[in-house]
Amino acid sequence: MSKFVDKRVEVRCDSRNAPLAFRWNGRWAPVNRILEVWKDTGTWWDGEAEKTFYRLESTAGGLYELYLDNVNQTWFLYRIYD
Amino acid sequence: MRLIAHVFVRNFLVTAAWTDHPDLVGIPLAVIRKNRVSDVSPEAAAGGAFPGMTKRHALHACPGLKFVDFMAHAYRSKTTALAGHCYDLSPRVEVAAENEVFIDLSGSKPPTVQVLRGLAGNIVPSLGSSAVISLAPCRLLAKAAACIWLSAALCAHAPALPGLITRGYDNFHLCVVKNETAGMFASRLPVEVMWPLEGTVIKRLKALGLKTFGDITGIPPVMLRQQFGSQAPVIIGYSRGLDETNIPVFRPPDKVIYHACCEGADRTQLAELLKQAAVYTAKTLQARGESCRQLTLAVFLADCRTETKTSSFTRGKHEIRSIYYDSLNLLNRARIDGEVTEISLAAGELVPNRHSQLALFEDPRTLNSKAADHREKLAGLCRDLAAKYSPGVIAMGKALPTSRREQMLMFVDPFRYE
Repeated sequence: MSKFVDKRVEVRCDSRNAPLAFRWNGRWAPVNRILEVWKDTGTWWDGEAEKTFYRLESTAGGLYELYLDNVNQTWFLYRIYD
Repeated sequence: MRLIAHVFVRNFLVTAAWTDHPDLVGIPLAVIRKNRVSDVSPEAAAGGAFPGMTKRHALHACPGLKFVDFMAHAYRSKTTALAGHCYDLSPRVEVAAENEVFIDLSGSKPPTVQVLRGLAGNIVPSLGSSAVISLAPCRLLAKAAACIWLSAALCAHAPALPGLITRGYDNFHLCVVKNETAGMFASRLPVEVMWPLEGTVIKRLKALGLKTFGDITGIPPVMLRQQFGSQAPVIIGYSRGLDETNIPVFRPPDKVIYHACCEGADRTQLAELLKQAAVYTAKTLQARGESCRQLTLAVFLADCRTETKTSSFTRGKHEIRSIYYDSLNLLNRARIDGEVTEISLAAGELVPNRHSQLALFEDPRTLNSKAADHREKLAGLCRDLAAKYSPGVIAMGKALPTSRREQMLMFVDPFRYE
């Protein structure tokens, strides 16, 4: 089960633009490891921007999905897994 | 968005020594603390001495070097002055060392160069030779940026770090770490600048082969937990450039500050808190025999913004009711569009209670009284009052203003005849 969030979040990235930590509910959640990375072209024929998705595990053990809007360079928390 | 400024004053200790000993100006001078150099004058720096050296090494590098001892009590007033200048920018100011101050500028636009130049203008040259001001999303990175800049200034071949923007102005140097590049900047930092940690922890990190923040992010947190126990989450956060430590509200000695945490309080609860603030402020002012001519209300919001409203008045105030209504007006003027976490009421521009005067009038019915004991009674009253107040504060006689209907016999004004 997972909870759909899709809200903009503040993310701290390393030199390769991979997330190191993200801010959710007023707290910083450091990233333990990135489990998976993929690109989503979405409905490109409708002008939707390409997104880079990260499935990651926080140091507290939570599982999250974040994506980076490659056009605006903004980060969103897409999904939280139970 | 959080924004922390770190202000470092160069040659602070030497400048303080020059104030006490003007004869030491222009010669190589070093301030010594625990047998190590804490600060050097520009002449000593030109001779090869620099902070961190032992006394013996410094003397070897710069043979004519003079030494003065580090005296904490001598710097206190200058450090307070430094914090006072920073307090003009934000109510959240923390003194980190004699010559270092953190300012929380969260929620507001980054200060313009004009504002920073104004701050540096207050600091230089009375407190030091120049200032290093660094802006970053947290305390850790703000001070780290200053450390990196200072070490680069000492040895010209120090590598420039990506994510750190530096620029020199006439009396200060500005270092900026932007939020977007904070992670990149942090990952290249050496572990030595993880300054909130103790030296022993940094030594252990280095012994484990972890030389940069990036090295720490690259190893599994389980390993860090095995090595550092409860400190591991802190180290993990620091290695990613995260430091959520709040900067407390500064309490300048020339102000009366009431500060309270009130997570999620609505306007009614805030008004109740202001009543407590007014009672505290008024009682403190009355105990000190002072009145305030300025009230500043700071409302801290959950998204790190600070709403500050100030009201100034010509007449000093020290009554509960008056302070309460003024602070309530300030609350109504403040733009509160989020969850309030803390409030702070500061009473400033303190003046002595000049309006605490006592005028004694003789009863008109007894004017020109022939009563035999009239003068004796009056003289007794004067003696009692004279004993109560310090000499010179009670004036009597022809110099006093009198009205037609009443004759003023005595005028007690404790502050009029200072």
